[in-house]
Amino acid sequence: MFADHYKMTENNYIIGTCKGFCPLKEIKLRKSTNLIHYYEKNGKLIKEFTRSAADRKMEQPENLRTFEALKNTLEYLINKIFVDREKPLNFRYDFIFDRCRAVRQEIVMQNFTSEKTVELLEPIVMFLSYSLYRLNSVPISLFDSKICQQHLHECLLKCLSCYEEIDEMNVGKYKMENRIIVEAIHLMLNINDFGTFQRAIKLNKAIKSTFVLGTAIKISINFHRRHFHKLLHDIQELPHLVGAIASLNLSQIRKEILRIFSIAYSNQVLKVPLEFIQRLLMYDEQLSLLKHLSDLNIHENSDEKETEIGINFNRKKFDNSKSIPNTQQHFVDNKLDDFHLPDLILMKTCVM
Amino acid sequence: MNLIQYLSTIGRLWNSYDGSSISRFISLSGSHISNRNLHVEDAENLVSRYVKSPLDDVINAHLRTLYYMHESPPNFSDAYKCQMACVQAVVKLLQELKEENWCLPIMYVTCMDLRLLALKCETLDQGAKRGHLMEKAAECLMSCFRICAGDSRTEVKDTKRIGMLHLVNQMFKVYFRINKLHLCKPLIRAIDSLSFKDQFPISQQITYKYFVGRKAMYDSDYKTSDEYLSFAFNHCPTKYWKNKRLILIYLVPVKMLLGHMPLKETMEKFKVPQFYELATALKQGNVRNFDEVMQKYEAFFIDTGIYIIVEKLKIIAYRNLFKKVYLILQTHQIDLQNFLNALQFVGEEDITMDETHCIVANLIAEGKLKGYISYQHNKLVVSKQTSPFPNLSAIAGN
Repeated sequence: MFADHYKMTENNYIIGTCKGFCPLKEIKLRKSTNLIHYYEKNGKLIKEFTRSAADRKMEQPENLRTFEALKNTLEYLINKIFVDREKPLNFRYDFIFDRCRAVRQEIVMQNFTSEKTVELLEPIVMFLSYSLYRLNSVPISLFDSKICQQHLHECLLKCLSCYEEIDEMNVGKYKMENRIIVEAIHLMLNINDFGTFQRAIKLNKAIKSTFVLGTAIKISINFHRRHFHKLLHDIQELPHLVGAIASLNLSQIRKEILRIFSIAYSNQVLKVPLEFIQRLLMYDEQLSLLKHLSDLNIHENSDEKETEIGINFNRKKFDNSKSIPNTQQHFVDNKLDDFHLPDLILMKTCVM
Repeated sequence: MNLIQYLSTIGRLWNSYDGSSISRFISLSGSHISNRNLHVEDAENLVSRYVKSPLDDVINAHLRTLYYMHESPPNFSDAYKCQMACVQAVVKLLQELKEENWCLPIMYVTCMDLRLLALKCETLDQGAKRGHLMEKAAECLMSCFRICAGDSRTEVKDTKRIGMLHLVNQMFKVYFRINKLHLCKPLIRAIDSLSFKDQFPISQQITYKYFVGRKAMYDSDYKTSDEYLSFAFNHCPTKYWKNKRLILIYLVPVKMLLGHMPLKETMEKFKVPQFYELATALKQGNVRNFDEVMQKYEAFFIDTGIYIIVEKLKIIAYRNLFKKVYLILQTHQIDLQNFLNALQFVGEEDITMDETHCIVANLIAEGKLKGYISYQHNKLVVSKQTSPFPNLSAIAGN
């Protein structure tokens, strides 16, 4: 993907000279055609993402930003736009997503070193992770989680290969604590994938025995072993955005537990208390649990008194063709509350 | 042998359609490779005099590969690039020789050498990105594969489709090495849809079944995995002890998941005591012992890529532990507290009643335990007539 040019030196590529957020040429063009985004009305234009034509190597240096300018762009996006309270997150996301994409494009075009690449990509990973978690229940017309996930995945892979390259070639450095967060997010995002697990478990001891990655690996193992009780307990130990990404697996895990319960507790008469299910499945609100029970055809919430006593599981009633949505989790939100979000995303605070 | 003799031999073999003899002369493990007379960087003029197109480009690239391999120190990186050019020349050759397949051995040997060179470069060169050269090599193999797979109108005896399995096996080796198993799927589909898939040479079939069996294992499709790996194990000749052992390393955990515990003698014969020790812990339902064996052989389980499969076996330890509890109590309504006590006894110290519920529920859902849980009474209720612990090997959908 990006690796085609890895043996060449930085000199074979154009080095950007633009010190602002946006090249002059684009500013002129967009002002004359009045293509100014809501967030650019104050006069600060930021370079848009455009699909590169076949002649992208012909790009002029003044149309590409310097490494410092790219860093400043990201900081501006997070510190100024991301924190805006006037517009909903999905609106801010659309704008930041596009501008980050332009940054990523320039990383490739200028063939930055692994060290610089990681520095630019890490905040994008954090931003996409946050958005994926926070916007998960927003309708697809407003937020396409598949696309967000795909881009997050690409950024993660690129980061990981840069860390490896820095290690193997012994050029440059990276912040170990950032790497551990990125590794853990990658593992939690791909909890189903065997290859991802295999990669994580082959990392050297110093990395994989850290609390965060160690916990993430334990969670993966318990996921594959279907030992969900331990898994749900451990998920709550994960920090901030790692926990947020891990919590995106809750819907499939909850459904699986409810399928298992529908078989194990299947009985016409005997009931299982709602409180037990709620505790085990980590539901913050009983209401959303009841909603999901009805989604899966386990229980109709018609008689409140009956529901209070408990749930009748019946192996014949469980509807495997249905799925349940994800929910925002208090444990994640509480952890995120401990941080000044822009600092967390820009990794300017201790992330471990 | 001097260069002219070498080239004229190849020219003669080409005229007599002797693909397999040619392949020996362009193999990087052939006897000719250390012959200094052949280490010429650019022999294009001579080559064109003795070797006809489209083979000439293959030979040019091959000689260049040899040249770089024998520089001192050997320049494997450039050798790899030339071998890549060699395979690309083979692609052209395959395209030009329509409706004939005597040239396939040329493809086999150049493709395999490309993979091996990529591997060599990656192990030697600290700067090479892991998996990158291997992946490039696989892309190159893929272009050969496309030509072979597309040759569907030619009669079976002349079709290049009989070259598919060899290539697929080479690509499997790459994909397993670089951890991109999802790329195997279309290849498996292509092979499985061939009407003559059982007529490939048995050695190729064994390799194929070995990899597909491993892939099925990772997809939790244990029945298929068992079938494929068993085929590979049973057909692999005894003299290939190392290969048999390798197959066994994947076959045994799959068999164990399906409820067949390994024999001590077999495990000793193939020097894999790990599995016998695991089986002993499982049989006893000794969870603590199981964890100890896991820890003891952690590196082995990680390196072979079966760590997670072996972890999955733990549920069998729970099943056997609970069976012991059931046999001691001899009752059809077992208080879950008994299971909890047993779990604590075998070393699961921080286990809770909630978790005990979950473990029992898991066993019931997987069909490993027949009965239901009454939450209110905190009891497991099992049938009076049949054994609540059916034989693991008899459980459907396993």
